[in-house]
Amino acid sequence: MKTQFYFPPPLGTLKTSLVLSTMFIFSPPSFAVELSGKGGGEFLNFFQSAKNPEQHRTYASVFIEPELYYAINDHQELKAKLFYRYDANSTSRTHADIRELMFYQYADEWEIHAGIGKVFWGTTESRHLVDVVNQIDMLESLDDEARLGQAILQGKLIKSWGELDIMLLPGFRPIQFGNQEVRSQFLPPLANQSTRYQSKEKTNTLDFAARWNQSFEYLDLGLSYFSGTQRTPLFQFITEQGQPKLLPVYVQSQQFGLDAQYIVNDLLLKAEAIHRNSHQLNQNNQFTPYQTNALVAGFEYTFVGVYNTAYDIGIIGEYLYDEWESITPFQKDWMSGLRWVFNDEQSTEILLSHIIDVDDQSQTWSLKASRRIGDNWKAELKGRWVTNVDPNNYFVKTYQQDDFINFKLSYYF
Amino acid sequence: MKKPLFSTLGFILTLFLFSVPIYAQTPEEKGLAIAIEADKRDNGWGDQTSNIEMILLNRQGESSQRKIRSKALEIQGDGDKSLTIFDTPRDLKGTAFLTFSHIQGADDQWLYLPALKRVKRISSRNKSGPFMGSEFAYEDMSSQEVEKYTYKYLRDEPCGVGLTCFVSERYPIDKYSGYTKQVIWLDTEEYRPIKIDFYDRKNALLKTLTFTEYQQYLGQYWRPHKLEMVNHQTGKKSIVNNSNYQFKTGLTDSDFNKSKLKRLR
Repeated sequence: MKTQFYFPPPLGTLKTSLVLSTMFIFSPPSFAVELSGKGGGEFLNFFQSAKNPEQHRTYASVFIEPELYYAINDHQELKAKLFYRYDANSTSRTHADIRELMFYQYADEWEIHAGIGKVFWGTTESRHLVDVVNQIDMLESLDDEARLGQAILQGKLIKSWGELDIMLLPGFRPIQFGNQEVRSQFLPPLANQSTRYQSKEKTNTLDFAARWNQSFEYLDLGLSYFSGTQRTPLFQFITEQGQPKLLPVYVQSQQFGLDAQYIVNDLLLKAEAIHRNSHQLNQNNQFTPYQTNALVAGFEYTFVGVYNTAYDIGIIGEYLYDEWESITPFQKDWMSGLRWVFNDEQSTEILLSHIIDVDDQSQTWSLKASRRIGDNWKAELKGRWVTNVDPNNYFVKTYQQDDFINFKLSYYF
Repeated sequence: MKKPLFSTLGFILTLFLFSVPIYAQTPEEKGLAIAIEADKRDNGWGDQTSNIEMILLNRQGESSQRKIRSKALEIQGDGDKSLTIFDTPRDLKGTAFLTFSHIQGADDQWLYLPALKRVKRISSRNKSGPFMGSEFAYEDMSSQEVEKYTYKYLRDEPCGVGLTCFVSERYPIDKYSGYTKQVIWLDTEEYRPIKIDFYDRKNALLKTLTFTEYQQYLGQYWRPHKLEMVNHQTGKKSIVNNSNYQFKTGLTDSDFNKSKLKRLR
């Protein structure tokens, strides 16, 4: 069983956790410490047979995600959120993470956050371009919805001219792709040798991020900046013991981002755009500057209470554009989505989405559905499958023969 | 010359103003006058917080429960600001709704999703939609402003033990409202809502809301501790138990800031 705990570089986090544990000992639980969270089981089922002898058709796992909250006083608090999964069929997916272990200091017009945490930036549905602070948790989700905790020292200003966040991000966390038993696997497979970094500091970097956002009458606008190790890796083709392999390479990058949402009655217009001032590998595998732009722009229109029912039906359309071919499949793609919100006691929701590559017509489908059972349980269904795959579409091809459906049952406490 | 003329004019004007509510009043004018008086009597509470327990009952009698904390700030000249924070169901714990309601036009509404750490601006056109799967629509929960309706007084009639009510119809001005009309019973002593019948877009009786267990706060403001909404078309029922009302707790605009939704517990 491989357990990957994440300890960030020096930021006094260990001290914080000691403080935290001392407080738990000396405070009566009903008084100041609040425990909540969820736990449950999952069945991940693939429609096609395994591609290598270590893979399975079904992966059964259990997980727990406890959250602890401690109010020091009216202006100071500590929050912790831990995550652990035990997968009976995968040692890689058996993993743990500190999603949050954060000290918060609040004043009327400013805040300080110190510790490990997560931030979310952006507006669009199909892809999160501007949201670059936290690394993707690839073992948890193949789309980028699950994120790893990141060490953050953050100052926030809340003013009439908007909200401004300045963040120092000590330490970098590479994506954990898992071993051979994880589906999907890249072809050629990932190299055994260690990951390559452009920075001499490797994972001990100090990255920087900032974001300003403001709500206007119908418009929500955000401008962001990131400087440091690019979260999305490049891949270098290498030969390892005579076999072709892929080596993940993390480059240094600056990213300028814009995210916006405009409301016109039942219509939401959304956009995210970035400019990357980054690096790529040349023919000699040396780092050279590389500038790219990317965009996601679209709409979500909601038909409220269709046919005199309580149902809301939303239709989503987003155009995806990215100049950087070697890190993402979304060069020119169109996403269509259908969101069905039942507005019932069980908060039932279904989201069906379809992404088509405008150039080669490769298609990725996904389905997400959730429903509460009773007051404390929740059932979630998630599926993904690909159709009409062009053999030259490297990323979509990777997911070919890996169509899956995942069933998750969680208990909230 | 001037002075006597002015005072005479003033006297006539005063006489005229006072006589309007008593004489020569159309049912529309009387309905509006009652609504204005009810609004006036509930003016000046400043800010309030309360705990809400909502019980949803289906036709089979199965129930589920939601626990919500509510904060509201009175805004003079516009709709109020309100904040609702969910404690249960547990999967929604920490979810918060921030609403800036407006007398005219769509309300501004933000939703905070704690699992995603995401503040999402949402379309508030969905007024007629159910609030959290209950029989209450969002528009039933939002701040009630005189200007949101036109009125027509119908009659006085007894309504409960020792009470007499003004019965009026009111018609929502917002074209996105789920109702064609509401019939509202206000007691003649304190102008408190006792009952509301809601008529759907086909003008059929949809729901009835009753307000009970009133208590007076700060010597002026009446608040119901129990609300019961019955849907006549589905047989479902939602019961709201309000408790721990507190007034003038010192809340300000800065407590209703979308940038501070993440701080809420």
